[in-house]
Amino acid sequence: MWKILSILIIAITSTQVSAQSCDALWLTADYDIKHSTQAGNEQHTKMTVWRKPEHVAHQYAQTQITEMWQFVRQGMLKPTRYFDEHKRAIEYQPNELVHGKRETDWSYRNQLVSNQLIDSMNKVDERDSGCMKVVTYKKTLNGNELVLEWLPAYKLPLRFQRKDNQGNSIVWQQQSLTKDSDKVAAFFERRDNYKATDYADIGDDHTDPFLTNMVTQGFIEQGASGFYDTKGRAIKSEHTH
Amino acid sequence: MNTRWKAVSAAIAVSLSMTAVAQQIQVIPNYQKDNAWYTEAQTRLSEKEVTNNQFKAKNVIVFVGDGMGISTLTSARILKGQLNGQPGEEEFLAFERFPRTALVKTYNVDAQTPDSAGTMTAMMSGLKTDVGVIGVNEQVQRGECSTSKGNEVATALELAEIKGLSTGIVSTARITHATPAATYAKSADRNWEDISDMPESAINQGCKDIADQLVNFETYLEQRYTGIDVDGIEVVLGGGRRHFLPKDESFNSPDAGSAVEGDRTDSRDLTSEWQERYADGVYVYDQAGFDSLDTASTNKLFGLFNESHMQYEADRDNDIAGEPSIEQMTETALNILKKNNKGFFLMVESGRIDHAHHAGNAAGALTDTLAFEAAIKSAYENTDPEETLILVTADHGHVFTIAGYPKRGNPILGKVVNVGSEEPAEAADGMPYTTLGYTNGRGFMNLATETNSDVAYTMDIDTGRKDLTGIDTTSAGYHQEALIPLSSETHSGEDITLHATGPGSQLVQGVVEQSVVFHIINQALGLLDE
Ligand SMILES: [Zn+2]
Repeated sequence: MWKILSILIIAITSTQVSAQSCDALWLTADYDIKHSTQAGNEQHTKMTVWRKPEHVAHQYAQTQITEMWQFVRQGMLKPTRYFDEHKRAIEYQPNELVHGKRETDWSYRNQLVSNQLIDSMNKVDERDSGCMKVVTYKKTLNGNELVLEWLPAYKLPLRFQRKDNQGNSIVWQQQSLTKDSDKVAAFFERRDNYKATDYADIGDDHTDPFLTNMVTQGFIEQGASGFYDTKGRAIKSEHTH
Repeated sequence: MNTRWKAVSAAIAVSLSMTAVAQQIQVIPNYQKDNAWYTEAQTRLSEKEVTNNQFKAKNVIVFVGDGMGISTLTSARILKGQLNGQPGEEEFLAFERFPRTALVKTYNVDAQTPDSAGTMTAMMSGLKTDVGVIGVNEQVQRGECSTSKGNEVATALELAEIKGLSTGIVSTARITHATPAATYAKSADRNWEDISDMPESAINQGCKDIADQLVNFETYLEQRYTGIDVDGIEVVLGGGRRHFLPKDESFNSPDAGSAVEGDRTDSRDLTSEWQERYADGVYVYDQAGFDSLDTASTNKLFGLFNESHMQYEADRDNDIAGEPSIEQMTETALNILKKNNKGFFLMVESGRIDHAHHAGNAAGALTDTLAFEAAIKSAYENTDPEETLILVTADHGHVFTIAGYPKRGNPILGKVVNVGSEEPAEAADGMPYTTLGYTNGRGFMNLATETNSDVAYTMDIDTGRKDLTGIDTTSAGYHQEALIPLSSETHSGEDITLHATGPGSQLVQGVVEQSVVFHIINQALGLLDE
């Protein structure tokens, strides 16, 4: 059902942008993330990917938090976390190449699925062509069955599913993909104008109600972004940390 | 009554006989008298008997370890000894050998536990003020520009400039950050580092951002006092480029960490404004530029080595364009300032001890403390002790403790191993525990070889007890357990230390309010004499 809907939307939007290229820049993609348990519980989260050159943002409407990464240079990403409700931002230093245990893989943040993971999967199907080409990959990783339907033109998943051997699953389903550079630019600009605090300075201002509030919010919720395993660790490749 | 008199006279008799016929009686046995602790302590005391009665100094250097409380000094000194292959506890940080020490009360006028803005204003201006404000008295309302008018206070650095001394500011933090800013700026809010950080109303009321106040220091100081002529701050070295550059990609430095490095929304490039103003001045932004400096021919130096704070000492090599160490910056600053026959005033801040503690990473805080110590040692060795007063202090402490009953020489970053044991001691919950810990903060993290303490902020808060069996707590990336979950570990309210050597250091004694630091500088340099 989701799949059909999403393909339809993509078909429509790609018709709209057919005069332009179907490149992976200046786009917005909406995802529905469905967590289902063996017991039959189902939970949905929405997230939107916003892209402009060398910037990618993951927006979570429910928590009103947007995570943004700037690609500074090879192996260096600079994360910024926007608290949309408060119009405030926390800026992190770009991670150096030698450190970047978490944020050196631009492809992982930019595409939701790292090139490394895709390269390690088996291609099982290919359908449609051009902007609409969908390549299906499969893999078993630590007892998890992964199925990825990949849009190479946009460098984003159409659908990504992980099922564990206990019958729990997570499905990321793309619901729409649009290319409107004005809208994307406005999205980034609005956040750029938030009052930003350097993460290193958080400790010095316990009189700031917003920063004090961070006490309960934490800075990164587990599984807030990207694809995580059951322990909240990022699924990037077989060598997860 | 009678018995008491008897006891007293007996004591006098004993002490007389000790001096007169010590050889005969041998009150102190040889194994006591020859004990290394005993003789060493006697030697130290004898050294202190030699007093310098000169109270006036030609130069003053104030070293401020941001967040360098007493527990930080103790554990850094042990780490230093252990890195040299010794047990560690017997070690001294170079400045701990300075002859004079005082305890300093750190609270702000409106806060029991202080921040750097209020504390550094006290040290630089001689009065205590509110938390979060810079170079203004307690009449100010934080964040309200209008309330700062008429409440600006003079600083030691300004008075030194007026007296014709050379002046310098060095920091590993952003040079517009609270501690360095309190030497030169007046601001109703420590966060007004550039114009984009200020509310519209403050700009309209004519308040200036901190970066602007640094670059236009000479103009503003001359405006404040009619009839004076100063030549501006000679040396400014630190981080914080973003507050000096326009919000425009084309102004990015080669090692920019953001797509757009600058933050200024008024399109001003303060680095070029500074260069226009000081045609013979040198602006540098990386290690190569710093290394190629000729201090003999450079009389004005402006160095901004990072977009934000400079790297942690343990991280320094990882910076793309390279950054000088705090020791190198101090040495270069001194080489330039020393050329003034009238003398100089220099403030050096180690800004990131504080940040590593906030992140709950003792290893980072101690490593930066040792880098800071190296800078102080080098300054001491490269100045004349007869004419230079060196003060070493902190602005406040942290909720950081050294606890348990670890045996002598036990790794300071390690787990507690009790006296007589080889295995880590167990707490009542059956798990090992570390000597170092924090009362509050983000808590336990095992980030192994990670040297950037701030990575902690990308991890979840994880307070409470953890099973540390099998975890190397001595690694650079280990973050100690904490009790109370907070977004970051906090400052503490207890006293910190003031260590002093050189003329005027005799006044450093007892328990003092933090504002006394200014008066000691003022006394030594005679800043208000004319
Ligand atoms: Zn602090």
